[in-house]
Amino acid sequence: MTPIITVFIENHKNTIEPVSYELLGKANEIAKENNMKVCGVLVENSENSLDLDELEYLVDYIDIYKYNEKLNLNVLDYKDSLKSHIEEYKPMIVLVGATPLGRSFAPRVAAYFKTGMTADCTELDFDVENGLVQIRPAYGGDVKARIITPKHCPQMATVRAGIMEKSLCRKETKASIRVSQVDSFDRRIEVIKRKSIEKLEVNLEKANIVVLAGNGIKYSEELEMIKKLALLLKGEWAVTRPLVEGGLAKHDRQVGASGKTIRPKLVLAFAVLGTNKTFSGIEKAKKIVAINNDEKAPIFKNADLGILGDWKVICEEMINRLNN
Amino acid sequence: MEFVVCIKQVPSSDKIDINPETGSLVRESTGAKTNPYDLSAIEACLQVREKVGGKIHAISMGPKQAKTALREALALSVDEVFLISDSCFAGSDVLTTSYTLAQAIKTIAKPDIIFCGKQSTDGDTCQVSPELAEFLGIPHALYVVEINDINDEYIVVTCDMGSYRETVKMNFPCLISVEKDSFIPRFSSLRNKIEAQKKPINTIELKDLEDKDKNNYGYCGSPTKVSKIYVPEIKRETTILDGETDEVVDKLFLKLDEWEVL
Amino acid sequence: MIKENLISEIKSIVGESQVLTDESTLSQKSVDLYALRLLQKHYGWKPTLPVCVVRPKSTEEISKLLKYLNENNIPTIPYGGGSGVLGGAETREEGTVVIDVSEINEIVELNEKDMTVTVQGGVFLKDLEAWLNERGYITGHYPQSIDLAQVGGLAATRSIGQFSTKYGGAEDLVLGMEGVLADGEIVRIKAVPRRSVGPDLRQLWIGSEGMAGIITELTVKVFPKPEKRWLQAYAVAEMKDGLEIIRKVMQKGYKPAVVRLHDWLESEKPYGAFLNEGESILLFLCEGNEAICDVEGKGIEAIATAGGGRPLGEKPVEIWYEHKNDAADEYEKYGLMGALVDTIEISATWSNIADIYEETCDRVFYEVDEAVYFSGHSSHSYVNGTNIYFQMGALPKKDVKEVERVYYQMWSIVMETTLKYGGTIGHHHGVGKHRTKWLKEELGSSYVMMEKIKAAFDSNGIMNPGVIIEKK
Repeated sequence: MTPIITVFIENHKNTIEPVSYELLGKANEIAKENNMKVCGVLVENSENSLDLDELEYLVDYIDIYKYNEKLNLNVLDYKDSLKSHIEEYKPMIVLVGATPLGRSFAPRVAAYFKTGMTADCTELDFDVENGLVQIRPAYGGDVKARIITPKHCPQMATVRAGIMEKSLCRKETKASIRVSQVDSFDRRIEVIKRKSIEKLEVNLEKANIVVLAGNGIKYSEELEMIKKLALLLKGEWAVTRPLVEGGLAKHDRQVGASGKTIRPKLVLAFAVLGTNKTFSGIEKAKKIVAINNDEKAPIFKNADLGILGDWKVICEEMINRLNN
Repeated sequence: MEFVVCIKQVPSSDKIDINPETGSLVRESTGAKTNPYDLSAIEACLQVREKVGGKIHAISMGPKQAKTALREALALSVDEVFLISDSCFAGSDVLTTSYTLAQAIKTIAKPDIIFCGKQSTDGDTCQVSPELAEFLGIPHALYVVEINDINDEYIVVTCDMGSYRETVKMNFPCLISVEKDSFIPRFSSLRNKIEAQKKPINTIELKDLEDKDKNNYGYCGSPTKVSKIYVPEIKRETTILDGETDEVVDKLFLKLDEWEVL
Repeated sequence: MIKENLISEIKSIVGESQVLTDESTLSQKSVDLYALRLLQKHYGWKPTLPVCVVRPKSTEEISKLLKYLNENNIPTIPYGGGSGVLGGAETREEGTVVIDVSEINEIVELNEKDMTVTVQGGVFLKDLEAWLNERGYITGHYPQSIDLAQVGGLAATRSIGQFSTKYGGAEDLVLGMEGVLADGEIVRIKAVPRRSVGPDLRQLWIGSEGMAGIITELTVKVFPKPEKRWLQAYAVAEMKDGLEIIRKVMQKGYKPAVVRLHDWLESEKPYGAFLNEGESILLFLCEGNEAICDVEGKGIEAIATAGGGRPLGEKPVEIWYEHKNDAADEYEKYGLMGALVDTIEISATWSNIADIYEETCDRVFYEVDEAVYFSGHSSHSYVNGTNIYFQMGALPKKDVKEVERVYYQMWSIVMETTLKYGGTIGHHHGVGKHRTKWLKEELGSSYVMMEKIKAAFDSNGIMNPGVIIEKK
């Protein structure tokens, strides 16, 4: 039997989450090189029904779990569906987007099968001996770890959005589709209310320019300068972990191993030390400019352009020029 | 009611040195603190106890130094603490950690609610709590930002699911994992801190658990293995601009134009 | 005097660009790092703003400026790095002029034969240290405020560094100096290794906190970069065991650069991995000449183990070294969380120090309902005694008055206990405008000398009013 890579297709309001496309890109790449098949798993209620036009040519199989009620599905429903899928298709590898939903139900599936699961992989690889090779930052992100699951099946991993390249390489043949009707809900959790939130203000992933404030920035007045510059550049501002821990900014502004991974055209890093854990969040940026007065700061080894000097002076001068 | 709070001791700084050739840790970080996310879990649990009453058991899996984290929990007035510690628990991955916690909880109490922090600052995975819930066969809610309602039968919580917020009702027993900023930990008083030094810390070892097969724990029982640790390569070549502010900023803007980013 | 006239007169002395009157500068230079204010400002406390902040560029300009201010009875506060923690640089009177010395900041001369460096008062210690390091020397002076402090301010507050047990405090480091008296007179004290020509005039300046004039230049000792370092940590059951070990080390004549003893509460987090519950930690660091360093290491090892110290290796000392200045960053954070955080340093002879530590801790435990933290460490030791550096945290009601009440309650416990056992109420943070409350009791019959000094050097009482001596 040809081994299968399963990708959980996260569907919100009949739109596939970008991370699912990204995972499909990776799954197809591995499948092609190793002669495997790719299966997409969808979990839907009676009100949601994804238009399969696009998906049909991106996978070999589509396995749909269709709940016969209008009720919002809960985390246990997702878990049960993926569990059933694994029992029937016996995939070798299962990939799930590290979205809040994916992070919530996928570990339960892993625990059910008593298998391993590596969260927030930043790279995935495959070798014949070990199967899926999961690479993620370790020890706070200063180093990377290659993790394997040698003796357990399936091999599971989650990957955050924005890390893998989205690939829409279409297959020649349509996927075969199976739909299972599900009648039984797990009633121990009841979703009372679901409300979309427009997080308009934080759009780090989509910004072309991100002005990044590092641990040299300690006061809110200083951060205001960064915000001002970001606004003038029509970009976004972000921070490294110490600023979140110091209460200057919320986690949704955090970039790095324990925050977001961004890939803008430009990162302007002010007073950023540039440890590997920060760097792993910005390494995919096209260009990095570092401004720091510490010539020994590791960021100077990782940037395209380094400015040795007081970040405040440079920032202020940039603001002045942009104002004129 | 009965509650369990899971806490972990984490390194206070995550600075480490690594030998790039062998991939081995040259110097491990040693300062330790209670995982800040778990302090929020304790806070959430204290708030719930204030409302409905009950007993809080705090548990921590780790070496004997993790006692400090449990003392901190005692100082915050949890009722009883347990250190889950055994040489064969070392090297646990997510699965075995969750399994061990589940086994330990079964020996301690029949909790109505288990409280966890969203993640730990050293592992950053957020996976232990859902796996723990699975091993205990109970429902869970992750990313809890608000406890909307609680009574003898159920709890209603709101979860931040990124693009949406979800309010769910769960019957007991259940597990909730809380967001840090929503439950700002209180300070323990100096008196409680000092009194906490005198309280007992219970220990749970392999022999106390229902499943005594050591192959199900620690490194042996962990399905994932770290095959290599390495320092990521540096790919960029840096040009350093030096000089007067005016000049430097001139050059910077020229570069930005050249890169067509403005 | 009318504010506008005052400002224009000052501008005519130092030039227009050197007189700042914008609100942000005034508000910044109206306070230092006085812990009480750091919390009170969150609950509506507002500083009294000075009329202006002046940045003279030379000693001569300071002289002219002080002459003018003195003749017109204008309250004047010298301002350095602003890292004081007792309100010494705080503006409390309307109509005050702040003299910021940071533009008098030249490193004048390094004399390698004499091992001295001459620097102007506004030089940042951090910069001086870096400049000396490039030339193979060190200042040997590493206070926690190193990122902020200037040398003039350090001398004016009788500062001490974390390596003081070897290199000494400000009083040992300053050989000669220049200052401007309240009436504008410039006085110089030459740099010599020792003198016997009446009372030591340098000491009237060191610790004067701007009450008599402004320090404009210093000639200080430099030291060679150490050839070697020896580190070792020990666990001890109780503070008094650790204090005994330190006493013996000091009295045997060893001069470790760093000797620290942290109580259990301070040790449990950073050093928990090395300690059994409830233990205190002793940290030693010797440095300098290799041969001496080896001998010192061996000697200390013998005393520490004989005194019941359990060797823990070098690592805890490395951890301390790496994080030694972190505390300063935490202040602001705790303030935002509503906590009152401060440090109180006292010292006493060996006969009394353990009693002071124990009784103080007990009293805070029983008397202060709002206390959330109270710990202590010894960090500067001498042949005849040592200091205790208490660290306190409290959670008062969110109200300017309540914050002040709890603050004074905790401070009073430390001050009263120290005085009871004959210790000194201030080891190295100075008096500022906070500790004045207890100074009469501290100095006893010699308080009158302090008043006379003030009157002699600043007859109009313009210099930093309210510092050291409470204003009548």
